[in-house]
Formats: sequence, C-alpha cells, structure tokens
Amino acid sequence: MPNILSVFWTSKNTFKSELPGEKTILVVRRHWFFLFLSIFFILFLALLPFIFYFFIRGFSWYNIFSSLYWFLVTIYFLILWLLLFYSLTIYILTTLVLTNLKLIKIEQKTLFNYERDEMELDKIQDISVNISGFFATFLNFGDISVQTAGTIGKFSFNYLSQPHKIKEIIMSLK
Amino acid sequence: MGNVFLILFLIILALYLLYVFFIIYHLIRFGIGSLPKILAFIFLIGSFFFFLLAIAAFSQVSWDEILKFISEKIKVYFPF
Repeated sequence: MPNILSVFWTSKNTFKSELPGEKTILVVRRHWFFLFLSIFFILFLALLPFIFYFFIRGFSWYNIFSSLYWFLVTIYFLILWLLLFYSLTIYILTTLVLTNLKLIKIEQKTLFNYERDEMELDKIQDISVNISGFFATFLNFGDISVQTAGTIGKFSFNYLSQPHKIKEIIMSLK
Repeated sequence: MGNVFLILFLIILALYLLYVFFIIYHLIRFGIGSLPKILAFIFLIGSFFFFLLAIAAFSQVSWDEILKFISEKIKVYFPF
C-alpha cells in the first residue's frame, strides 16, 4: 500500500495535461526576493495591532473595549493569514516547467485567473537572458525570452533565479 | 443584540473557511512537486488555529457591557 504521507517528501513533479512518456526535468519559480517583499509587508501589518495597543491602553474606555479589541485583532489576523498564503499560492503556482518534450510557462495571475503557454523544445530557436538592475545582478535573477520557429512566436518569463543556468539546461535538451 | 454580532461573526467565518478551501485546493490540485503540499498542510494547521482563536476571542466579548457603555455615552452627548 503506498504511503499517503509520501506526497510531503517525494514527488515526480507531475502536472496537468502531461503526455505519456513525458518526464519533468526542471521546475523553477520566480526568485524568492519577490516573495520576501510581500511576506515582509504582511509581517509589518501583523505588528500594527500591538503598536496600536500601546497607544490605546491608557484610555479609560479600554477596559470595557479590550475584549472587543482583541477579538477584532483575531479577525484581522485571519485576514492576514489568508493574504500571506494567497501570496504564497500565487508565487508557488507561477512556474516554468521543463520536460524532455516541452517548455511550459504557467502564470498564476489571481486565484481564478491563470495563463499557460507551451512550447515544444525542437521548435526553440533562440533563448536570451536579461539581467538588469542592482538587485537582479546582486541576487542573480533575470528574465528569459524564448524565440520559436512556429506561430507561437516568443514567450518570456520574468524574475527567474539563475537564468543563465536555466538557459544552459534548456539548450542542452534541444 | 448579541445575536446580530453572532450572525455577522458566522458569516465572516464561513467566508474565511471558503477562502481556506480555495487556497488548499489550488495548492494541492495545481502545485507541482512536494513543496505546495507541505505549504497546504502548514496553511491548514494555521487556519484551524486562527479559527479556534477567533471563536475563543468572540466568546470573551461582553456585548451587553459594551452596548450599555455606548448607550450611556450617546445619552450624554445627545440628551434629546
């Protein structure tokens, strides 16, 4: 009997509409820096009720309203918890998948809005990498543009970490 | 009057649970690899914790005392 908990540590990186015999070689996401920014902002928002508490605790009416205040803080934290994982979900689901047959770009825009582009590896003509800016150079992330021979034209994926390495892997599979 | 707040609270909790379901479903159904499953599990545990915390906080609120205080203040500022 297969262990159901194994989904937490082993994965064949299967995905929706995978072809028979297709093997996932690489799954890459945007650089963690873009996730860090939203997490940092949410952590800052999480501190606000405690800062606000220091201002209002001296008022005479606070004793009566304290239970209501902390109840509203828990509701606020429910919303922040959802916001945090909403950001994480968008980050996790926006991926570039490289298989032995195709290059797939999945861009999750909102929870119910996503864009998916597929490109066969043998139709790829050129791959260009663009790294611009201080943070991009320092943290090694950038954009990859893939040019194809077919009618699909060009597709690009932004803010990938180690774009040169990804380009090399794609070119080696061509 | 407390029932009105209870109904409002239940509506908020229902919306919260619906959104929790959407996020967990997306992570498990569309996530590639084991990382989304781990995140979905952490999210589920955290959501349950915050859910219980919100219920506990709601039960601590003394609505009668708060409404009495507000009505007294209203009488002071608007005696007519």
